[in-house]
Amino acid sequence: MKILIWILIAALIVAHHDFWNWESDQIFFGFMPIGLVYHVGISIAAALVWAIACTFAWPKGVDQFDDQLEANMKSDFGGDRGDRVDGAQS
Amino acid sequence: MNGPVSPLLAINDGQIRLIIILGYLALLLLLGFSASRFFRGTKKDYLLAGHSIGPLLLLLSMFGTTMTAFALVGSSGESFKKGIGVYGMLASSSGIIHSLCFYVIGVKIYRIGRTQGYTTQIQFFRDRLDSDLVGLILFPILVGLIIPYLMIGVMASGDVIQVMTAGAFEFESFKVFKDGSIDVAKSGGIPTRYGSALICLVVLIYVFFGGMRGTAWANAFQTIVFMLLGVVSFWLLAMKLGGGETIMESLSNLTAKVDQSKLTRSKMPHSLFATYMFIPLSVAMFPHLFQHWLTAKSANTFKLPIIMHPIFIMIVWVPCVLIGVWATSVNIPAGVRANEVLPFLVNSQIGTVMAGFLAAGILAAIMSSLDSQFLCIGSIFTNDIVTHYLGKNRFTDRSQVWIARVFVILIVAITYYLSQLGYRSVFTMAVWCFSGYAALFPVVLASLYWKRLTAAGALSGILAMVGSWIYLFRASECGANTDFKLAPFGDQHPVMPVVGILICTCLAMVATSYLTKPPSEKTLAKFFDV
Repeated sequence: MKILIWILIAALIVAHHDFWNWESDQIFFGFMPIGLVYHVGISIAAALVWAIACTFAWPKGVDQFDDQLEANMKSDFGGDRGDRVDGAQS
Repeated sequence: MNGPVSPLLAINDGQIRLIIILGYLALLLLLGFSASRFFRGTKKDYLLAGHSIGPLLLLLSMFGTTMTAFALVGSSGESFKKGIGVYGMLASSSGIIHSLCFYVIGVKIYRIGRTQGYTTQIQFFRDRLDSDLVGLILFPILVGLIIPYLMIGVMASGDVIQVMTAGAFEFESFKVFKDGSIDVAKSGGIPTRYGSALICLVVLIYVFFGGMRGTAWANAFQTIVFMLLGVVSFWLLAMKLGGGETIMESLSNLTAKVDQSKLTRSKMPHSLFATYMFIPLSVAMFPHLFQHWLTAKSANTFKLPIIMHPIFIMIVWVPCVLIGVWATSVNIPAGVRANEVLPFLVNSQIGTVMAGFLAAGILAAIMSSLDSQFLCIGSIFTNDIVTHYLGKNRFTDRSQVWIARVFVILIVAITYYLSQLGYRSVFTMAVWCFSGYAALFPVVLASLYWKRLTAAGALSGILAMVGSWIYLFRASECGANTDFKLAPFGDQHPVMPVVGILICTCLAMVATSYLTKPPSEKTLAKFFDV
């Protein structure tokens, strides 16, 4: 899945350089030049790619890390909000 | 433009807008004081809000922090000059790259920061590279680069207040002349030196009392304010300038009047557009964003900001770019500079009260960056210089908070003084400042993912960045030459200076790392087994 995410991100970066729209004066919705509409599409596509990344390729171990923080916070209520994950200085 | 005196209030339009601005600033101060009631008295609570920030607040505060005068005033001004290509150049590219940095750098920094108890970037680099010298070298660089970033906000806030309060007062010293005649767009408005000083003072006060919690609350509130007001003013401006019966008709009328060259990228070199993509890498090294990352309640808190950041950028930038492009077909007086196009249009085209609110919205965008920057430079000084070298136990938590505050005042005073020295394009200054941070991206990336990075390698990279940045900045006449670009493939294919600086950083960092002894297993275990 991680590879697919990186392919999607690379595709976004490549698609960002829309040389084919460079001199086009086509107007969408009566007021949006194509050079702007296309990049609005890139912004929306970026949000979708990041949603996929956060859902299916969230960095390993993060959930366990959060659980450990939560557990520390509960056992140390009123203290440092669970800073003492294994190996911590504080 | 100043309109008649309001018969009910017996005050003029400029004064009404000033009252709205002052009312908004008072509201912010109230928010800062409210946040201070939750202050637990510890340094960690003051600088990191006790790691209590949830997903929505993190999204709003990080977005508010990254969107400064550059996003509203700079984007409309730059699209006024260069057309719609400005959106692709910086907004859609930032949507990809900013979230990439949050995903690849932010989440990992958060985990390491929480595990090791860090507050600032320098603490992280010093430990990861096992070198005090790295911290000493980074300190002036990070503070030095943040000063132009602060100046952008301080200058723009003065400009906005002056234009928005134009005609408010008859004082001789408030009059502005252009080519021997009164400059109606600014004359009678609060002079920039007072406007800038007022904004600095307000931000300083709520940062002082509210700390990171007050800053996060204020950022979130201000982000909502500037996004809502931005959309409303876009609507009102479109209706007023377009003159149609419906919003769609007005929008069509406006675009129809614009010169074709502004609606395409025919005058924008491909190579320049492509290399602008490196500029948003700067977020990975912004010290104030680093500190915001550490305020998160959990690593999962990052998901919402990562996903929604591109959409939020779109909501703010599309209206600004369109307004800037439409302004090219409106009669803008010669004295109005690119930075002032948006405030000028709002002031001259929208009703007085709404213009006052929009002024507050623009100031909200500016202040939501200034506050985090103020707080972070105070944190860096206290953590990385004072307590690190003079000893943690010599100071109580409260005295450390006070040391941070005093250093912030000093930096704000320097920034304010520099901002009064002369006019610079907000866009150009921001691009130079961001280029410096972006060129440090390889260092932070390597420190997290490349075990072979050594202290000497990182130092070489940092110094190569500084050397090449200074060389190119001087070559651009310290930013005065706004068209300064590199041309390694000929004048027809210019590239952004950041490319040259990045290459220098990477080469120096990689070569030196391979030539020096790898870091110890003990050090690596702290950072790569997290």
